[in-house]
Amino acid sequence: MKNSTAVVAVAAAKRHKILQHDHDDQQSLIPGLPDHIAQEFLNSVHPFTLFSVCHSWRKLIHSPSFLPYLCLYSLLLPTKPSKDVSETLATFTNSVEFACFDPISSKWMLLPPPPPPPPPDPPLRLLVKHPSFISRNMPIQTVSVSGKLILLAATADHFLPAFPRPLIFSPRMKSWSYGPSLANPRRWCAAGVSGSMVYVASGVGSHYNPEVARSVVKWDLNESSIIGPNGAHDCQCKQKQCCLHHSHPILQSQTIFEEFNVHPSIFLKSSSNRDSNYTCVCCANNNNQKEGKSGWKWEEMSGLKDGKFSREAIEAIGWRGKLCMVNVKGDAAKQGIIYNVGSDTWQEMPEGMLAGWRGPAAAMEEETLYTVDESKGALRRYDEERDIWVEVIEHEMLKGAEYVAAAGGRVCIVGRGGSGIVVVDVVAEPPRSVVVDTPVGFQVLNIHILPRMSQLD
Amino acid sequence: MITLQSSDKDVFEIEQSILIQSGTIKNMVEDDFTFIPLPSVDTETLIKIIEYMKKHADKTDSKEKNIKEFDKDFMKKTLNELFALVFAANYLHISSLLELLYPSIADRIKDKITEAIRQIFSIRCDFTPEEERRIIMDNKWAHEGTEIEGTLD
Repeated sequence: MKNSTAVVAVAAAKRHKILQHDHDDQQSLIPGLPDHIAQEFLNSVHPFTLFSVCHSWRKLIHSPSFLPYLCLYSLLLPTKPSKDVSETLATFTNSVEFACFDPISSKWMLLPPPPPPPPPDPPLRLLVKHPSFISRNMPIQTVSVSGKLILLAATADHFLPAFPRPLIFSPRMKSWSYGPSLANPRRWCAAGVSGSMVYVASGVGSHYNPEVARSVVKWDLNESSIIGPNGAHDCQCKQKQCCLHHSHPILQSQTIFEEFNVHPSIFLKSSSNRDSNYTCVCCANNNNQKEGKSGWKWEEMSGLKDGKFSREAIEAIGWRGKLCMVNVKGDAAKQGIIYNVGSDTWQEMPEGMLAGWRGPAAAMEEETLYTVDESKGALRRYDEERDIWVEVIEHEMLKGAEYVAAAGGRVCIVGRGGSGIVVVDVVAEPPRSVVVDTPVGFQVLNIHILPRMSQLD
Repeated sequence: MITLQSSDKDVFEIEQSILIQSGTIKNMVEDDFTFIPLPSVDTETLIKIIEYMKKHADKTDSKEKNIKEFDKDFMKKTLNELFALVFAANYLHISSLLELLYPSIADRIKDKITEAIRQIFSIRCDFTPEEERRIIMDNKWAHEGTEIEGTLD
């Protein structure tokens, strides 16, 4: 029997959402398309465009389904000391500000201040400048891991270690938390990240201790009773393709971000596959509160042979399953060493790698190693096969560089004296650079590249 | 065989196995409908949709490279044609086609100046003059070195 078309039409209307025309005062995202479809399309559009077209498009940048683009995160120190005439010690503990640069709106903004540490830890006060050390800042060591910023070592009042436990900032939750206590908190150390694991080696606590100077401890952020390896967890939404292993369904179309390499802007692409820190939208709110409260701990690993790596704050660079570090900053003669994460062993650093390591270094996606030759002002990339460093770009502002970070196809270098950040697009042929001005009156103490902060109302 | 009728009243007879890629049609077929009018889809667009579904019906491994080539060529259409496909694919619930269309269209508009994009989507600019000035300044810096298309297609 043939169905009458009238019946079909009614059935179709009942069962399916046909294009609706918005008669709201606020214009719909794309006139003629239902908003949920328009939004799915706009998830693929470059955030610069969304930012520029109209207010309703601009708001989408902060919607949970929009892949968070990358921002620069820095610690800033006011350059002018307090005008207090009685320059006591207190005036030297200038408030270090935590700030973030958003490339889409081209604005620096402050992070919310950290909460006081849980008792019995003393309140947080960081000592950066001190009359006894006129020309140097005392180090504040930070790492980025699993999309979070972590403060590991610094000096507090009375030259005591400032962080009995690590201080963690999560851009996604726009909130602070504390990590597991260290048996031996450090004023400085060798700090690095491999995958989801943070390593603290050597260094000095309240005073030099030869055992601490040889020690190596590790903290695996993914080890917790709530969250399993690689962040797999029971998703609240029970969607088939969900959470860290797989991309959230909407993110499948985010591959467009991999192709954003013609914009000379500093826009940093998030890499959707390697993002072991991005959890699906539905779990983001639930999980993070419980994340790591149980199960986080520092584990002892194979120690160093001697205390040669304890003299300065050292950045151990996570690269291809290893941590690479040198024991002296800048151009001077130095020793290098490599830690193999998988076998928990220490190895010699290849000669070429060591010889060319003449300034700060960073690894892009833990795959490509970069360093800045601070005397020549050159950014170089390590070629493992030939054990040499290949020049990427030379720039006047790279001379005297102290900090470098690499992610999303961009290498960001803090210029001499902590003023100005050079952003090098290493994907473009030939590589291009752009300078980001740092806020006037502040010195940049470090730099990290992490997802943008969520805009929680 | 299922009969589809476009908004222009043209009819097409297609195998059920090909058409179930459309969630909308699949539901109706499961309810035993064999004649399906599509008042929201014109003939030109329906022909393209059918072409897409035919190609994607046979997803064996050997054909995968073929399908990728086809998809690439399939996107080489005017923006207007691509939008018509978005409306139709949305109405017909063909998610694989939507996932192909979104990045392609986004890619096409990425180098267009803001005003051109507003015209394409019929969007009213609701920024204050001060906000607009700021955007123009930032856009200049962002687009330095790339060609900016002021055209609508």
